[in-house]
Amino acid sequence: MTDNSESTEFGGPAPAEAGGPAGPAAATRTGTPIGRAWRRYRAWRRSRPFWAGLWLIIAGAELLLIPLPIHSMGVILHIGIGGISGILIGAILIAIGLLLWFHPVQRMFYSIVAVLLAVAALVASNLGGFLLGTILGIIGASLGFAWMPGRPERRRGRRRPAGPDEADGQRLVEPGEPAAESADSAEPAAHAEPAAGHEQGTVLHGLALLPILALLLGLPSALTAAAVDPSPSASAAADPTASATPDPSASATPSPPPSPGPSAVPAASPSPQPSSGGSGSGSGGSASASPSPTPTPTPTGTAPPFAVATAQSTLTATSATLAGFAYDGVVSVPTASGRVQMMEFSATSIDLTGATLAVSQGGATLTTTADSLDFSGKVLLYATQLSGDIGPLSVTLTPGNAVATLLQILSQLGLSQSVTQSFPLTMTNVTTLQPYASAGSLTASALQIS
Amino acid sequence: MSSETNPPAGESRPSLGRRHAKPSGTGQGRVRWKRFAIMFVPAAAISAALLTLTANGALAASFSISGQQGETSADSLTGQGFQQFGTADVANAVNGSGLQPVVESEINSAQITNLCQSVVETLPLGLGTITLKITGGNNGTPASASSLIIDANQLSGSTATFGSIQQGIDNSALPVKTPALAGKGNFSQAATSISITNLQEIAYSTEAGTFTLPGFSMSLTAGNNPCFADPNAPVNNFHL
Repeated sequence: MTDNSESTEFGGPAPAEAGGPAGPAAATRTGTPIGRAWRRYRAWRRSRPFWAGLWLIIAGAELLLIPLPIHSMGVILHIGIGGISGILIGAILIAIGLLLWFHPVQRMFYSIVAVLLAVAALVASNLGGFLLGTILGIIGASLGFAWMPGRPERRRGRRRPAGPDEADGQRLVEPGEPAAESADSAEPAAHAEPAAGHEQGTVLHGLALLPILALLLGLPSALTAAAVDPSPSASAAADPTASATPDPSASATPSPPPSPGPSAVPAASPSPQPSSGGSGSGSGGSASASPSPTPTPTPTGTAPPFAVATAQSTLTATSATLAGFAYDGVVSVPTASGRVQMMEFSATSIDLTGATLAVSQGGATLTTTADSLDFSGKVLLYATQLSGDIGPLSVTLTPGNAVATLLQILSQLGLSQSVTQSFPLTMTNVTTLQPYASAGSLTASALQIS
Repeated sequence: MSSETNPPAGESRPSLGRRHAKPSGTGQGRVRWKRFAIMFVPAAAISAALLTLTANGALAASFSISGQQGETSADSLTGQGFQQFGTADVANAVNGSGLQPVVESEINSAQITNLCQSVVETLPLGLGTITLKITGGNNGTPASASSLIIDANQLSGSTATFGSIQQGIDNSALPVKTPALAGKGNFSQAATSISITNLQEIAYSTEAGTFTLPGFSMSLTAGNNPCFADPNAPVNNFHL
């Protein structure tokens, strides 16, 4: 088995020996404090799977840092476990690295957990931190798994049964070491390979097979889950092993239904939510408790079903071509800060060229530009002000002003719609304040947001 | 732990078959390389299998990248369940301290052809610049993502078509709730469907619940080779 041949392999360029070359040199400096400190450190390092822990800590840090900083909890809630799996796996790998240093007794368990997580990170977190984290993690976990205290030689023929405290941990090795040295040169190995004496071939190899087993069992369910509907329960039910161990399939398919979260947003004006189905959350004490439009002077005006943004926004266009255009009157539109009187326009299509939408909020301005913005379908446009040039005429519409009233009369007679349906009205230098638009479809060309 | 065992330095025992005989023998441990292989080989094999499955589009990976600015480009993106609003991202201090205004685009599910994502990083110690690039969806089968969330500070497309769009609705009234990301009153838009061609964007963070990347390939190259040339193409400074 591994027993005899192992000792000859040690000379190999082992990562575990990376600190080794300094060893003999340091040993000569017995007197100096630095030398003593170095030897202490070296003794500490060699009495535990140091390099295993180090690789795992680096791997964990790498996995952890890619998704950081999380810009909001909202995103995590939104996309589910996938958003935090990298952080979770990274943190656990770091913890395991530290545990390998400070509690190496359980290194088998730690290493198996670490190798599972490192492999699971491939699907769960940025392809395992772009492979680097997974590779480092697998190396670290394998080193931790392969590390054994004491000397490997002369383990054959020991009939010493596995003792009670046979976790063969560091606590056993280190304090027990002087005694071991005095007793028998083979003693350290007794600590080292206690279970190993007889059972190493079976028990430990069986342990080593666990992660493979779990992964192999988990893989098909992960695949089916990925192919069909992601549901972690499917893989959990598939085999108990996979559910008992951190099954990569569970994290591979994080089942991220972007559920309308328990609305942490204090929606100021509860509005009917046809798509989300969630009832509007409690209002922030605003006067607009009812989502239904308040009666307005005009019979045709209907408030949009959604709360309209109050952020300062301006839509400008070098030209606007309006077909089937009508002014439906003034409506009281629900917004986060109460109701706002806005004009409602409807059209069968509105084509804007040279359009710019500037939104200022939170001290920043986001600008959307497009060579053309073509709204079609059932176009509804709400605005607090609409101005532009119709031929030589400069027109400004505000709720209730003369031009608006005139247009409203034309609209109520049906003239405006029918005329512009046949002869679309073209305005130039159009400016719309606080626009809210809805349409069956919008096609933008040369769209640019910055 | 109490690991200072103070080995008797001169303790010399004939160590069988060991090339460098260590004078201090107490408390030492060793890596058994066969045991190493027992775990390493299967784990590496499974990782390789998982990567192969990912490249075949059979397995979805989860992405969450933040703090670094990267480029994303695609020949076309078709999505269902779209919403977009302005918010601010925490950028790491090196990349432009503090909060950066971004447009957050959320797409419930998206199909992407010729996807390319790149991050350019300047290494410390004058080690130069490297580019990490991921491509996928270029073999006839589009890449697909679910719960895609992209925080871009620059986004462009040659044509964009939105179905059933609402422009200017309040952030708090979006179909899919976004807890307090932008605050109430903020300008948002939502559409049931979206289709963009020649998408190019520069993003501060990219999240995807699941991402299948048929034809996936990942490359790390020296130099500045982002997905598309842009005057504002970001170069990140390496940080921890």
